[in-house]
Amino acid sequence: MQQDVRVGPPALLDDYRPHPGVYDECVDERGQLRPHWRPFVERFAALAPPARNDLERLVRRRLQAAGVAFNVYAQPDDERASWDLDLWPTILSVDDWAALERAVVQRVRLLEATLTDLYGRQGLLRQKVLPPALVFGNRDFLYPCSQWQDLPVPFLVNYACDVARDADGRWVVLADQVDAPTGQGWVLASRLALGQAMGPLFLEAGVRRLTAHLNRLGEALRAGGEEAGQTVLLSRGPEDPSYFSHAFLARSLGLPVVEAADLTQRGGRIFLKTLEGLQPVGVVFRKRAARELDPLHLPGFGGRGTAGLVDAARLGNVRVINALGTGVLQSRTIGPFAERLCRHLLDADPLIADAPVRWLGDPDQRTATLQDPSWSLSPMTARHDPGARGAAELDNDGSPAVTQLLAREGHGWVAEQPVTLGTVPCWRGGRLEPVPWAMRLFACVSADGVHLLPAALGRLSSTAASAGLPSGAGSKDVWIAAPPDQPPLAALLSQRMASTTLQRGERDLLSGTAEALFWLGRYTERMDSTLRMLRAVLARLLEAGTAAETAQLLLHLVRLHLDEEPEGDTTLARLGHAVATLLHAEDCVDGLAGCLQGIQRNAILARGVLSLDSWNALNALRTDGRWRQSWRSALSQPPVELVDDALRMLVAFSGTAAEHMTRNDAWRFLDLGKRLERALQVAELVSRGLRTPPGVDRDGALSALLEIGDSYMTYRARYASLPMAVPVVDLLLLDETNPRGLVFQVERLEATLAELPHEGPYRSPAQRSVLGLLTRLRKLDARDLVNDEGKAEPLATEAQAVRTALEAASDQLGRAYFLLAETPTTTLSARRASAP
Amino acid sequence: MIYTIRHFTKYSYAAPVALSQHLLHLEPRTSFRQRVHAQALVIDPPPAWSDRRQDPFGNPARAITIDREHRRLTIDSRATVEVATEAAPDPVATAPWETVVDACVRGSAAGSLGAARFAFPSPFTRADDAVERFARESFVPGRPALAAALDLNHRIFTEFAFDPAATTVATPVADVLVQRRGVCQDFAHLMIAALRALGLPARYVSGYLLTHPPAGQERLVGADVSHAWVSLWLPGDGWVDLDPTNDVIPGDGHVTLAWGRDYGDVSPIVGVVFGGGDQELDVAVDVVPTPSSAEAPT
Repeated sequence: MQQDVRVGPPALLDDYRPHPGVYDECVDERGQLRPHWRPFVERFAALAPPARNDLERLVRRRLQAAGVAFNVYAQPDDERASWDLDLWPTILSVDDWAALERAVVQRVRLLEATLTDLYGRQGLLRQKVLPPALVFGNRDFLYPCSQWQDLPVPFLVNYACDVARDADGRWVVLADQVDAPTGQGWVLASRLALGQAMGPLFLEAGVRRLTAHLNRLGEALRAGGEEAGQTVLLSRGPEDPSYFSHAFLARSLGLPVVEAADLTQRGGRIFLKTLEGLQPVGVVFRKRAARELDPLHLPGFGGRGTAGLVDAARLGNVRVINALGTGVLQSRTIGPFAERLCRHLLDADPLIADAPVRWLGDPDQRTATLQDPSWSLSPMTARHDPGARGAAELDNDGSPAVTQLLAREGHGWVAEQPVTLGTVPCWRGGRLEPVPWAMRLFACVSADGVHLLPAALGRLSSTAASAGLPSGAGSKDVWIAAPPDQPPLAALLSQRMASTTLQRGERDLLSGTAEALFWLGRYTERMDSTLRMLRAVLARLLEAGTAAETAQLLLHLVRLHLDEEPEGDTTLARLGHAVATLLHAEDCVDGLAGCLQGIQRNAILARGVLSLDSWNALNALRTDGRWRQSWRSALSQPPVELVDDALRMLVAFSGTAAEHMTRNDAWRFLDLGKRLERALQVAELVSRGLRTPPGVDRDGALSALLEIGDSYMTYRARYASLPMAVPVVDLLLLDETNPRGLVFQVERLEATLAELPHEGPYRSPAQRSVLGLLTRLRKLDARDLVNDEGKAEPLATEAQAVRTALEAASDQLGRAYFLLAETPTTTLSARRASAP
Repeated sequence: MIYTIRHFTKYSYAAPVALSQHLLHLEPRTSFRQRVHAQALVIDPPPAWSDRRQDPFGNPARAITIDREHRRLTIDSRATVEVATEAAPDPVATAPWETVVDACVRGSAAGSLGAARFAFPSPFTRADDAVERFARESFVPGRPALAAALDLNHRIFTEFAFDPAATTVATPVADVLVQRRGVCQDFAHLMIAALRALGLPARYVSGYLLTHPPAGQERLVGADVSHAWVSLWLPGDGWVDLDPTNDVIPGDGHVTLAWGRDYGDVSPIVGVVFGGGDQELDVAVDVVPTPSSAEAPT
């Protein structure tokens, strides 16, 4: 009897009732706990209920700290973007895993043989094993990658298979992920969060570890390309919903994450653009669809890519993984033909069945499908990646429109019958519920064979049946029971994974990152300048009210940052319009909305080289919900607090950058951007601010300029008088000791430029421009520029010289360091225009 | 007929270009009715890297990289080409168009696998229902394939206005069909999209057209033009060219440069340019019959 108590399900599972007739991972049809779950379930059951809740909170906190999300731009409280991981893992037995391993190994061999044939001699088409329309009608069959003298070997290095357990307990394939499989980073991050939170519960559960597989994947990626240059992971960047996963995987493998613009092709080879020059690249581990990667050879798909990548790959000078063109077998392409292909190519029966699928390029299948609504229609290559938008589906409603579309384009569509999914226990609100699930398995191909990552991306379904990898109900870590002979436990994951910050590689600073830092410096400073002006305006508004004279002055100040005349019948109306424009209009150069966008874009691109505190300060700034409020009535309810808080966050950013960033090139570019922008802003502030229109209180304007220029206290200490034009100009522009003044910025610019990497014995063009400006400014005398009677023309001339010199320096800096990173334009030759 | 051809292209940039990469389809290919006697290409500034290959459709192509700063790029292509006229099959004697589709789908005729490469929509030839309806007006059930294709060719010629201002490279064929205006490239893409909407294999041909100066006038240097037309595959007969812009079956007045699924595969020059700002493009094409064969048949 004692024996039975231990074998039977612990009390925890007493209320757990799987759906009748549906396979459950944890409990068998007689309600008995499956033996491979016992080590985990018993230990979990031994925890007191509060400890279980603590565990759940701990997992969530660890995921948040790692920043696991679909969309790095999303607000932190956006649930759609967050990664929802169930506290309970799915546990697979040694036998289940062995069967899956054999099936996936066979599948990889099948796909590899098919790819080699389709991009080579095409015997499968000649012998009518596959229909030509399946290949030639497929936009991911890449002609420029076919018929090469040396085909890639192998085509597949990184493969993923979406697999479900159906209601009867059989494994079925939902889809093949062959183009650029995504999701391994999420598996690793989930395992790290869950494993660390659970501690002994995980360590004693007898689960297979991931380190060995990661090492093997790293070796497989580098093999055959390492001597040509470094290995990089190519991502579409932060706007890709899988960016987190890509970056986490890259970090785990010790690879830099790059975007297409970071790469360039020269002489048939691929290079990484860094500040130190071009660094050769031997292997591109791509996480983007191949058809988007080369605007020269694969036109018509948006044109963002690396011109000539196809040439470099064809010539064998770079290894692209997976090889360019593997996308032709993405998702359900071979599903309907797997059995036939397997017999033809491997002389074997498939070890795993495909979920019910029909290819609609076949007229008979099409007719049969259109008469049977139990089949759903979807694009053949729909990917079902977590967080991505679903592919456009068609309703199988038998309508003439659908019939006509499929008659014309059926070769790109499949019909699927949803699979009734097996269930797995999920921890929901302190109790266990059976939830339908499926998973994505990952394999890597190395010289000694095909290896399965001993884990999976489990995905939960809100419906009982699904045709593709489900989404919308959260994720599962998938634990694989270790065979009894697993060697003693290694570290949870390799040591270098322990860090949770994402970085774009630690080697040389990428040109693209340097450019992002420069613009981050410019945008933060520009925003700072606009905010200081707004603070001065709003403070006066609160103090003095909206008397006509005050309003004139305030309008004058606000207009310093506007390119267009504000609209309105009265001064007050124009003032209100101007303030609202600066707060909301995205196309206003100095406007806060535009600055925020610039900060956001560049901060994300430069995140890897910013300290955590700097990042947090900018994150707090950009995610402040008050920016989304409407400030149309900015005068009656002035956003004083928002302006104050925003300034504080910018100061915090500058402070952390100054305190925590090493004085390396990253810091230099941030500082260059800041100094250059501040110099432009203060020159503009003084020269335009002193040109007071009639009716504006000149003393008031001078005070305001000092305040906006952050030099009021210095002025008071030095002159102890009402502001006068000459000393104001001297302090704000020419005084070399005023850290907010113009000359100070130009000096710093010159010094920092001198420290940048630069070839040749002479000063760089940018440094020469700045040095020329510095000399010019140092020779000036404030009394020649303005007088208190309102003379200001010489000042305007000097301000123009400042602008010209600094814009030239900015351009020269760009030419020397960023030009390589700028977005190229694609040109086509003249259109044919033959007269009839 | 033997021609000397000159295709001169000049890009002028407002700002310096630091790096440019181009893929050229400027070298005429050989075909069953065309032989290339000589060919030369002069590029200035000279490319730092250049790689000549056959593209996946058998056309000669060249990739170039120019990595020195430049404000001007000239590409001067010259060729001597001999072109013959091939007798077209008797249109009404060709097989019903449905059997062409069938042969292509089932691979039941010689060359059908090669033809199948051109039977499906490509980036520039996506059809919608309207394009398909437009095709079916000519392709009524059972009609001989070439007769139907010639009818479509004629309808595009008569129903569409030549108007270079109406479209750009990016104008989809569906829009060309609605506005009934465009240039030869649009007409070729529309006709290909229409043929492929029915499952017929059709390819895009890039080339040159000999133009005849008005009677009594000298041929103007550089006044000839790049041209584009269509080729339809028929089992047994192979590829038959059709020019919807001029309502003809091309003969020895049409010089072939390259063929592919659409313009994107065989654009004479496609480039990716870093820097440069605004750019100006000048193109001059001369197609001159050599003296020995200058007396064109009337």
